[in-house]
Amino acid sequence: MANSPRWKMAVLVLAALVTLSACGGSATAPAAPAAPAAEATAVPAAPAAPAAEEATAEPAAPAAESNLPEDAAPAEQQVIRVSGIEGKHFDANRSVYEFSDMGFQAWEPLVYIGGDMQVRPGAADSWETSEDGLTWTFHLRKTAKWTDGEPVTAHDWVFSYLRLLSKETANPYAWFYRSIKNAAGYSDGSITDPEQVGVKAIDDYTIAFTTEAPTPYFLQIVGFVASVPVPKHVVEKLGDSWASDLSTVVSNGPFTVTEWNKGQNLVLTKSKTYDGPAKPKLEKIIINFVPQGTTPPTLQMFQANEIDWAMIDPTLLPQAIANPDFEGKLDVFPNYVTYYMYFNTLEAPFNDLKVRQAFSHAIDRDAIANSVMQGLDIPAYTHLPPGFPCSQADNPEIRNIQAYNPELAKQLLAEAGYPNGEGFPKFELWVRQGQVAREGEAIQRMLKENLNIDVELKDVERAVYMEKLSAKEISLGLIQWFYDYADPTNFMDWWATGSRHTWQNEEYNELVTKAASELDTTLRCQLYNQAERLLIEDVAGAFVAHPSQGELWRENIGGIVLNPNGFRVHYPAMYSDIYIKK
Amino acid sequence: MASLETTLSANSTTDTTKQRSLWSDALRRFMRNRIAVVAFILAVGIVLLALFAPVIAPEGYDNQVYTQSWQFPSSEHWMGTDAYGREVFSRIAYGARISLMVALVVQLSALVIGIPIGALAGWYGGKVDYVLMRIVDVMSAFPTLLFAILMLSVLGGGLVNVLIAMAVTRWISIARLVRGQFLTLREKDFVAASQVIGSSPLRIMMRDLLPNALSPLIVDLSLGIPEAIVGEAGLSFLGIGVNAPMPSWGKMLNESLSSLTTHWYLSVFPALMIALTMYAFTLLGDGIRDALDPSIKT
Repeated sequence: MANSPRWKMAVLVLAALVTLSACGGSATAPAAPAAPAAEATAVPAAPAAPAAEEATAEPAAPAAESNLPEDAAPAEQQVIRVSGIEGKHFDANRSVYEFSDMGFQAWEPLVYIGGDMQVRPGAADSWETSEDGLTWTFHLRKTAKWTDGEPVTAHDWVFSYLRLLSKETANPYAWFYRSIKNAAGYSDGSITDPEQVGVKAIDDYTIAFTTEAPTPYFLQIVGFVASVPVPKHVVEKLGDSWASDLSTVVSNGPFTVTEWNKGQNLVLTKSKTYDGPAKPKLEKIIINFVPQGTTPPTLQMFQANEIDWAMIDPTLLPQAIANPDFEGKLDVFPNYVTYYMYFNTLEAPFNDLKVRQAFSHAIDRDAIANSVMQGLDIPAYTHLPPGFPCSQADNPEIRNIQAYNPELAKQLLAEAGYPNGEGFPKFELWVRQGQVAREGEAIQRMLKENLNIDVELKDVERAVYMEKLSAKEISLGLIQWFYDYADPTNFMDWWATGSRHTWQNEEYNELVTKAASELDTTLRCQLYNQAERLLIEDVAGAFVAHPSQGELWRENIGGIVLNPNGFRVHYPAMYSDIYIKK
Repeated sequence: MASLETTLSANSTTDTTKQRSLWSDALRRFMRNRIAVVAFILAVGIVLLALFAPVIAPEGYDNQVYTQSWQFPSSEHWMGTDAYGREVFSRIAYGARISLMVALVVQLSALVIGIPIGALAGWYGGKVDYVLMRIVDVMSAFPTLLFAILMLSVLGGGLVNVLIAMAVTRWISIARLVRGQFLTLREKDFVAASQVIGSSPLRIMMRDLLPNALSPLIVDLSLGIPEAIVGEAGLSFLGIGVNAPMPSWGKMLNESLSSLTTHWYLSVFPALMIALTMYAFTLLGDGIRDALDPSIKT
């Protein structure tokens, strides 16, 4: 009698639930348009593919001169398996979010940024800036070839940059290049003449960029993983469709895309036409696809020996740290990420500074970081994370501005006209697909306890969240900023008017514009510090935490360049450095 | 006189014996079923836990005591504390309220929708039956859980929406059941007799048909309870059910996943409670079925 089908149903449901478990936490994956955060550079995992065995069985590519170090395994074992998100095409000009992220390894940018944050030559052998800092000239490697044998010339590069900036392409990352002269105008359609855009071919192998203002971080822009060219001769012939089918995809990088098993994996093979400085030691990269927009099951995949490198979601870190199997394989480090709460400052009640201050003083960041997150978060009182260029996170005076102070919070809320939270409208606290949700649940309670304000935690699917965020329709939300490159512009520009949030401050706009083109590093940081102080004092955001990140590395991976703090951190250029050890 | 009284009293005696024996037979059969009795006791325990949660629970379900977070079970906190320093036992107790509330509200709303629709279809037959049953067919074509997920993604999470999403599909089996019962019952002689003495259709349905359809209905309802409980737990587990900080067992299970290997107690207790509740109510439902309708005993 007990074996009614309902029992089976219950068991099945529970089993299904456990397998679906991975969709709980935060996502590190790249995202919907207008998700400006830089998660695009490094991305986690995907369901397995039996590809490793197949790969090793295949004969190694033409055994030209070997560049393998002495402790490397034989060439046929030089295969690494990672995880990534499946894209729709391989056209970097159109959208970084539609690109199969790890597929960028098949293309070469002008320069590479290494794990140590140092700039290395890529497609450009050398480069120089003019004395006024406005012009950047890049000299291309003359022997560079596309995989179809055509030479890679300056015309390809100019074609690519213009295409990526053009209004018709509508690349959601076009903002990233707005330091280039007239790029913004060309993207919004107010400038239609490509001649006016600051990118020119001087001759077949020389490109010059002109910038709006001196841009000391310009190499970071052209070194970005998606700042890669498209083959002009192919695109002119085939249009956008060139990048959707592997038979017509042509690349210029150290690897080529050789297999695209839809829904399963992507295989990159060492390129036979590549002769540049990033010549890889690996023969193959197998990218197992993981679903987009959920916490990828990277930890399980690594344990099941399906991938050799895994980025671990912050919520799963305590488990990974406690696992003795991961000893020596796991690197945990504070990442350049900031979790913060933001407000719609255009509408009541959050247009009132006192309300925002009350909120910022009601958050006990130490409790969140040390109790809730078990010490894996660092309490945040600034936008720039500790250790980031121009960070003032260690300045006690700055840390005090938004410090936890429930009494002051209550008093400020009363002054704003809501004594003991009375009459305060009920808001939803928006969370992007589990991201910052842990912290959010603590904040929800802190607002109740300290201000007697009820907020409802609203965990929204990534695409919906980003749509509402860009439409400025979220009154109260939590989100992260994940750095694209190690320069304060990347963090600070996002608070300038017309960017990610509604907060507006003319003085701030002037300061960050001035700072971005300031060539003197000390002065530049001073300007950024002033700007950041405005951000904190005016509570544009209530800064909550800087999370830790963890990455798992198979022990037989050699050659990785450590980051400036001595950790093994995934960097896009690393696939040319690493090799499989014996 | 005396003989008449004897006859009357004899009549009434046989009447009451007969009436009593239907339910008392059921009760006797139920009491003889040991598993059902154990399930009943467990179920009563869970109901009591839910009813007296504020008395039983040492803390509120959302009291965050950060100095006491991540504590393993101890004499102070029987089931430990979670990331926020909330008492797991207190949350389990309050969680019982959510589970049972979902179970009851979903059954009741299913009754309110399902009985009239089934009754109309079964009594009138013909076109009415055809139209209503096609609606039922369309509704039952959707897998229940997927339909609930769809509804919640449109409506958004929250307890009320969970109730709506689950009630929307639950009435179907009730409507089918009532219709089937009415279809057979309306051909019976006592219905014809009732019609002959001029009873209105409503009266016939309420007084003659429904009481006779009661026992399969009770069985269906009692088996719907565990289904609703696991349904809510599942939805909350997927993160689209009740909102934080409400302590649904499914949600607690979801939250515990990231610390599955480091803090076992966070997942074990909610899972145990879901399993126990399912066990109790499913076996109770089976027991009631066997007691009320021994003919379908396998």
